[in-house]
Amino acid sequence: MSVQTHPVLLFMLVALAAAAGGMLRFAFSNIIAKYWGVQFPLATLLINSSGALAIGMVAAWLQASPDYASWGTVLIVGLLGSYTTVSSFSLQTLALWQSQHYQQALLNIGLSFSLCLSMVFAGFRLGVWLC
Amino acid sequence: MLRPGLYLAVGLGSALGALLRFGCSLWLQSADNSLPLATLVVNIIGSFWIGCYASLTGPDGRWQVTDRQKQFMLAGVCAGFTTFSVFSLEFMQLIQAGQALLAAAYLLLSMLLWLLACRAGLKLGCYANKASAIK
Repeated sequence: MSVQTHPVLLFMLVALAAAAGGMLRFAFSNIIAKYWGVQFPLATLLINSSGALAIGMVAAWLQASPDYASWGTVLIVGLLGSYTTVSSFSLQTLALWQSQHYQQALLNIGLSFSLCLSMVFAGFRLGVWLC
Repeated sequence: MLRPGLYLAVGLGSALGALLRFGCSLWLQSADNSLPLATLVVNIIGSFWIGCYASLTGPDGRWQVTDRQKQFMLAGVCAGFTTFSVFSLEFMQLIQAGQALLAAAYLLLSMLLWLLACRAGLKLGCYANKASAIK
């Protein structure tokens, strides 16, 4: 797919990729919640950091092959954008805080930001090495 | 236990949320090496709305919804609309462009405003629940 992809096709592909990303997230979070329990939002943490790793890799791939910009939009805006989530992170952090699990709430904030932001750099490095 | 209807609702909601986010990013395009406003706004709105929805549909909420409707909105629309990965990517791109200060500002603003917006949403939802209880 070249840079000149028809906008309607691009929107449709983004929507399809986003549906896949959202269902993948839902499946993972159900599986993780089943084995881990729901006290600490481990599922959202793992989903967001794996998504950050993947988006870093896609960014490196796009830098190496700029002709695939449209596929980049489908993967970044659609698949990975939808796979990861801020709203669940915010709600789960506040739920911990309001139920007086202050340490766990702060741990969730600290781990989410430090893991996601280091994973995106790691993914980029990995992508540069692979491409 | 796989529930196809629930997954379909989540997929549909996620597609809808992502298209809304895509539209916002085209509408609020920011210049290179400046604060990524679109993602910031999207994540704030999504956090606010998930807070509202969660308290409106909570145990003593005024909205009674089915499990499928709830997951369509929470795991679908809200989660698909907001994005942690694009936020991380934009943070990295600011660092790579030598804009460490801007990256730090983006990080702090995001952390603070997401959580404040979600809290405001929860409060507003609670307030609406009480208002309807009096009536």
